[in-house]
Amino acid sequence: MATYKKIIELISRYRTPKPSKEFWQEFDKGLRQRLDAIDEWKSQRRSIFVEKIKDILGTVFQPTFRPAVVAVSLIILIIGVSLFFTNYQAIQQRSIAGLSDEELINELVMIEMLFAEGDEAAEKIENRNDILNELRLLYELDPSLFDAIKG
Amino acid sequence: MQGHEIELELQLIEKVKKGERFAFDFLVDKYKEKAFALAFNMVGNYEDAKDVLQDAFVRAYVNVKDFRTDSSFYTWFYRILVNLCRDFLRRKSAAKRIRPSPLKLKYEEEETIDVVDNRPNPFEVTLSKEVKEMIDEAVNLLPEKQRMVFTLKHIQGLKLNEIAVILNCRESTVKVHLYRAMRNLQKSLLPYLSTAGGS
Repeated sequence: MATYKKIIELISRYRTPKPSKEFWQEFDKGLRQRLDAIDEWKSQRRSIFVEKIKDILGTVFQPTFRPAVVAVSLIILIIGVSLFFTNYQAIQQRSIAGLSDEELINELVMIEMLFAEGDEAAEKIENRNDILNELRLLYELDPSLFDAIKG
Repeated sequence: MQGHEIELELQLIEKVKKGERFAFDFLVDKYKEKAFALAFNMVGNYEDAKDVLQDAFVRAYVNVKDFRTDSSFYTWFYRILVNLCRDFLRRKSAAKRIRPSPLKLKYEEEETIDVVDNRPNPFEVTLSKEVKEMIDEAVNLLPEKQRMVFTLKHIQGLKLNEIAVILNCRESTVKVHLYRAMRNLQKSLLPYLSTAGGS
């Protein structure tokens, strides 16, 4: 261990550089120049980007283009709104065939609950099993799903 | 590093990320001397160490946005520096390999890269030349990873887990490299220890 300590002490003493002030001045100067160049490049890039955007906006908002811009904006707005409502309706009209078994059980349990709560509309139906059977035939459902509900 | 120092450093890095150069200059001043010692021990001379260290600072400045605050700045920065030192050494050894034989080199000798820069510097002036040469030889003979680990541990004073993070390896691997470095240095330096130890 003493030998190891001696080696470490010797090497750390002899291999720790002690550059002069002039060396560090030169180092700082060189580094500053390189970092300045990077900063300049960054700001140039940023200003080029800003100029490009300004050019585009300047062109688009020229008085001659203004009616066209308004028309395009309106068209985009109308298309957007119609797409939104189309999708909204699509969600409302989701097909039962697309439901997973678990979702289907949940739906059927909801129907069961309507019967159980004596819903006015449901009371008019004489035989709830007829409806469930019709559902089963209509959507070709697995009979075990109904067993799960009954169980 | 203490809690408030870490906090201050993180604030500085946030400023650098926002493009405030003075904050980066502050970090350069804080780490340049220690980082230079690492670069010097890896590449072997002042001029190359200076170039590699400048490259490392430039790279850190450009990529500071990638720095995540879950590690300390110097660990992140040392990782950049270590990778650049490795690249430099690889380039240098490749250049050495393709260097033509002396006969062919008669008129081109000035274009080759020397392994060791023998230009005098203030550090060398103050040392016993013989002892220094012997130590330089012993350290330069170490394989790259052993030299790196030895420098980070005993010249930079880093902990084993920090070295593992910097070198992207396990702590046990660091221990193995360190042990082998010590064994190799002991082999090379033992004959001189009695004479050098007293100086």
